[in-house]
Amino acid sequence: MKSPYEILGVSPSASDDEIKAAYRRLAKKYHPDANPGSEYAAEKMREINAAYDKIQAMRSGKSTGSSSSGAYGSYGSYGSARYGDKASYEAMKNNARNYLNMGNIIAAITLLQNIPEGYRDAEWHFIMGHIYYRMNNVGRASREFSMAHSLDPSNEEYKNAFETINSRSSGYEDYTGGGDFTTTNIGCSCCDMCTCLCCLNYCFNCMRGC
Amino acid sequence: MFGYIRPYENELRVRSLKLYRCIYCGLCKSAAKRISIFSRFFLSYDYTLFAAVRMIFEKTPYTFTKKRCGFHLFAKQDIVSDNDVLALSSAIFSIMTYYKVKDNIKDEGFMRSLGARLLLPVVSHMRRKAVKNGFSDTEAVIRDCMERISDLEKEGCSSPIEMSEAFGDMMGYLLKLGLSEEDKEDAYTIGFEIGRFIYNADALDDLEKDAKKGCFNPYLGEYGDPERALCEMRDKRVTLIRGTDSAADIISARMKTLDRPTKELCEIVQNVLYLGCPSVIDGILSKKDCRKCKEKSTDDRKENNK
Repeated sequence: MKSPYEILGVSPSASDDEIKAAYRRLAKKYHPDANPGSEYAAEKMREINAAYDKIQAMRSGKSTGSSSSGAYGSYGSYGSARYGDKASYEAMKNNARNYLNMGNIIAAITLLQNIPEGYRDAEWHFIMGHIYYRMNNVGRASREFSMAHSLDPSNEEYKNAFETINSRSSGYEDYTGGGDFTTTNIGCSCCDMCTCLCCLNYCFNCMRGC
Repeated sequence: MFGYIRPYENELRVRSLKLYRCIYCGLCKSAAKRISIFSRFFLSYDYTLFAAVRMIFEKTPYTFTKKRCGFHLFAKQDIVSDNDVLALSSAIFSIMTYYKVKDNIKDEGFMRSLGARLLLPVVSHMRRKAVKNGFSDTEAVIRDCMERISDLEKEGCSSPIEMSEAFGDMMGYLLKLGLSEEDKEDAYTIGFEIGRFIYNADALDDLEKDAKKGCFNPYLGEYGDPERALCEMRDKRVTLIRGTDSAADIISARMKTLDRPTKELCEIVQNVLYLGCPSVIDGILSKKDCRKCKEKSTDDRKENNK
């Protein structure tokens, strides 16, 4: 999963003209008319269009329908806060956390990448690390947690995240190594057979007595 | 670049290992028939894994046949019969081999690249044949992604993460093209993680060679020298294998909905990703201990002896 800025190959701090130029360059390269019948070009064109629309929506401050939520407001409404004060960046970070908890990874990463470089503190890197971890990108997640820990070494949460990600064991523990060897409990087990034999023995003895 | 995707044979059932070899032989035969008789010399098990994963997603009903081959003259061997997935895999490895040979020619001097230059006509023919067989889209993906990787190399990108992700992106697209919409995301993730693993393994394995020849290697750009790079990556070992683990988790989650023949493919893929990949990485990382790691292991031994 890539952020809209990564799809267009621009930095989050790129100007609107640079983003437009990148979009036009990519659209010219992958346009269906230039690549008739190519599924790859069609796929790339869809991604590029979606990425451009997301960035435009963010920067113009409009909501984008399904990617916004009533409870937390449109993440587009913080587009104007790109040039705002520290309080609005704090709000953006909180919203990014909320989007991450809701599973809206693209909204979370887009919000964070709109915070300028000078305001990217330890908390920013920590949330970014969580986003990358959810995207299964452990390499980037490790880097972000490492940044968060080095910027704020006293914070136990950042330290634990950094240590945990570098010592996580693999999913091998669940791997049986041989596939479908599991037996389900259908039919008799040993206990059932013993119980049955004891009952039969008892019944036999009773019947002999009759 | 290839040859780092291997099963961990000690933990694989004999039957699964035979199936994996049957797929490899099937791929070899398919490539010889569809592309060129010389293609078999460029085949590796990496493409066998690709074919296995693709067959899982497409739920291909594979069958077996007995064929004779150049390496087993006296007895016919069981192989997986030719199918669309093997055709796609053989096209991919033909085209990838072409771009790999071109890359070698560009990176090395005239004399060192003489072998690659002699191979160029053969691999060019392989690429043209693959495109002619209807895999022009596959060729577009590989060309596009290799160009991006080449641009990053020219810029002197010193981020192994960015470089490995660019390669992973290519493998992700190759795996997901042509699949149904609900399978595309999972297929892309698996291809992406396999591609990242291959790039990282190759870059770490070639550290010393690249340092001597002055070739591009993002780990040298980030850490400066091979010893330090290996030492740092030993501490961050989990970042190299967690991706293939999560790719294997996707296969494990899918297993419950699949039939027996396709489940057997899942077992092979799980073994390669859960066990084979970490084993390869451990082999590469244990190649050379730096002074810091030797001091650390000496301290650990002293601590244990107390």
